[in-house]
Amino acid sequence: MTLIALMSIGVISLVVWLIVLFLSVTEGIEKTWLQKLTSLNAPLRLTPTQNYYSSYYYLADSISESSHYTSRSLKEKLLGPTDPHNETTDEAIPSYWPKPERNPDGSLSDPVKIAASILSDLKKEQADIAYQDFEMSGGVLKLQLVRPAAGGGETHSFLTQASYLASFADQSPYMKELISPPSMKDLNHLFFLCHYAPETKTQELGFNPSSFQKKASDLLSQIEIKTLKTTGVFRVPLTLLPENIPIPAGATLKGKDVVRFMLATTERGEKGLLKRVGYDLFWNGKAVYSTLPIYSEQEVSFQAQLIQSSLATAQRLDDLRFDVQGSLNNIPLKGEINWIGVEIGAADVKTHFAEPPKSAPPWIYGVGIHGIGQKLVLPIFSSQERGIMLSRQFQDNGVRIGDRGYIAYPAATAGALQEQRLSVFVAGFYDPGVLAVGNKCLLAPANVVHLINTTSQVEHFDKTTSAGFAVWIKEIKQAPALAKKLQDRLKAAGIDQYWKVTTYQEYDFAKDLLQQFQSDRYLFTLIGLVILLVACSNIISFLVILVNDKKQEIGILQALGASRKSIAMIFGGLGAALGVLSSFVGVGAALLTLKNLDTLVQFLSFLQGRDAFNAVFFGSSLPHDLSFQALLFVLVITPILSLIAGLIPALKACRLSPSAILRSE
Amino acid sequence: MILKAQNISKKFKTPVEVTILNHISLEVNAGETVAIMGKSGEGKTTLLHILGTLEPATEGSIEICGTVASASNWHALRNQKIGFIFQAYNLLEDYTVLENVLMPAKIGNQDTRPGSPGFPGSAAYQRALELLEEVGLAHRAHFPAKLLSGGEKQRAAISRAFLNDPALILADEPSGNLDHAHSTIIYHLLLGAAQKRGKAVVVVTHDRELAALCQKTYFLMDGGLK
Repeated sequence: MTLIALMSIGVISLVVWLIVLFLSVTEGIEKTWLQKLTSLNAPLRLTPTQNYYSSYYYLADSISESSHYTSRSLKEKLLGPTDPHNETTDEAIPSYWPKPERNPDGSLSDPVKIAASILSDLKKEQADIAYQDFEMSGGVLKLQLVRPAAGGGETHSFLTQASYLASFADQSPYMKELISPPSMKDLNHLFFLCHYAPETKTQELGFNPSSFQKKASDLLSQIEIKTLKTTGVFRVPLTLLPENIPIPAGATLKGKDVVRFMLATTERGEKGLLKRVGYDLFWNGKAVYSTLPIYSEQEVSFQAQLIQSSLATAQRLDDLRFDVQGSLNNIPLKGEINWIGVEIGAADVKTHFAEPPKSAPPWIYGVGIHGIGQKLVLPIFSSQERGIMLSRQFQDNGVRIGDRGYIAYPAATAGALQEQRLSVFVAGFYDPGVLAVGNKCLLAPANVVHLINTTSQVEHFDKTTSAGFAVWIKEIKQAPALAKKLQDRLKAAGIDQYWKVTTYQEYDFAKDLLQQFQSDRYLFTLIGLVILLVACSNIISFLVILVNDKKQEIGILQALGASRKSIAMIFGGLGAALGVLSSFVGVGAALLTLKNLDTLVQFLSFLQGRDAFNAVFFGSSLPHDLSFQALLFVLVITPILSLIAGLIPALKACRLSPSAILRSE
Repeated sequence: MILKAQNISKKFKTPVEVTILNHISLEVNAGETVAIMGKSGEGKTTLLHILGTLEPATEGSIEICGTVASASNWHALRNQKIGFIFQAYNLLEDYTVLENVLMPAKIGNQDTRPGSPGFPGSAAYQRALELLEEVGLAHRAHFPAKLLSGGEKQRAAISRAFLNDPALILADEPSGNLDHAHSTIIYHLLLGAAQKRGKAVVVVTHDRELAALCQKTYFLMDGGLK
């Protein structure tokens, strides 16, 4: 009997565990996706309508000298005069233009400043709100990829990509979650690039190590190299070997003469012992030329510290020297090496500064106190060099931080359309999440995006969606409520005809995914309900057996005056109690599993021999948070189902005739 | 009048209709002890169960202490007005003797708290101890019922039957499983306790000697009482 009860509890707990785990993980994944989606695109957007673009307020810039006869961006509108038009010096307002909308005092109504002040008020009321104007434009990105060639020297290749340009949202509190810090590959590439400089004529990179020392110094002020690791076959300097200790090695012979040694090898040439005494070398006790090369095929990782004096005079990367310490098959290696045949294995990279740094790193960095008021900065070295962010796919395709190139866009001149170029370099990579234009979207400083928009005469974009205010909030699901509030305030201020409020649920590129997540959840909840029902029906079998087993007791209690109701309640209550107990056991187990999910996933991956979950979809680690909805679901549904399951045997129990039972005993 | 049974009939329909009890009427007053005798299979137990509302009659009515028994008040009547004693004792084997005796009070939602320093115990608790004392089982109060001998079990059952102070005691072959010496003791205990409290008692038995201890004796024969 106890065994059957334990089995019932076990089965229900298992199902509860499964449901809680699955729903929690899917909810977590959905949350991660929403976060990714809205970190870049904001959960809420305020965009100007067609009314705005055909209003006098917007058009006036194109005939006003103070606006340089150019439409102003939202930011410029915010900072500049409301009405740029000077009736005496500027041309007359065309008669077919819509009438200017004026305030009671005769001044021009300013929908941008009013909208911004509404947003500012909202931010004051709700601290987790952040907003920023955004703009999009387009251009052709051309990157010059300089890479070390196998036999020395370098190769040049070009990558061209027609791209969307989005203004970089430095005010977004969530942006930094989309950015990964520079990788070791990036750092090695940045050091390699120190040998190159743009040529005056073509602006393309050429080998020119004249400014190597400065560039390397600048980089080393932002990076602290911790370990160096060998690449390929490494030539071990003699001084790295321990003194007076025989080391097993292989020797390659040419005739009778040794031409080179190979450490920690099992295959090549003659085996023997190599010993270093001072600057002398002994092979099996016999002196050999100490200039004979000693190699290691195996990768060696050295703890490394830069010798600062070597930096002062360095002309090339090879000139940089390090104090290193490492070991090769338990052979301790210690001494000095040059940056030859090695690359950075680990390094501390500065990506946050309390104060704006004097010399900026060539990657995206944060300024301010961590967490509060921290602002992300895209490095700009001069008007010639602006940092941009590319989507992570570029990184997977071999693009590295520091790669240079330009954005080309057409601009009208007196005679014809001419290609304009803006020099840029790659300052980082971001996770585009489910952005429809995905890897075609690059993030650039807002002024660059606006410059291209105003200069470029090709209208690619629907203006009503390509510029506006992005609004972020912490709880993404509150976006619709906030949208309503914003809409109401715009209406109250009388500028609702100029603005459209959109939430992430209405974004074209998000709709399908969100629906998919929702239907997945509904489907699993339904399946979960069915499994739970089956599991709870176990209680029926258990209780029916119990009722049969306790027949005599039931009869006795009835003879002593127990009502049918109270008998039914004993068994119904027992069913519900089993359900409650199982729910708690299941939820507890789920909590434990969620806490150790990473270990479990690692184990699963180990069993499968590959990653059990695709990081692109599931994120780098699975969510650990318990879903409140799932908890509510199991804690309500399981006891109810168990109670119902308990009622069937309870009815059977209370219908037993005491006379029949007591007579048979 | 404690028990008034009028025109009680019991018919079983399967497979062919058999009439076990045929228009039986019985009246028992307070303090009266009645024995019902009869051969096996005559329906003695059925009659007793009908009188005790454990089984519905096909026809006729039962009135206990002026209340007409019906499905809605059966459990209350059994708890408050009737005390049962069975041949097979029917104790809850996993409970102690005292818990068994207290069970009717528990079912009737009475206070059954045991005594503790400064508290003599609830009324039901004290009554249970007195009853156990009376049947000579006080020393076994905290024994699990399953460890008792047959005679001891029946004494516990008698204590249990009297706990809620019912007006009617129904006993079905109370000494059927006991040897003669024990049977006599049980009968004396049962009838003594009933008479002391002025209870109406109906005993079903096939032992003439024991039946003779009751004031009235009826024979159940061919579905009627004689």
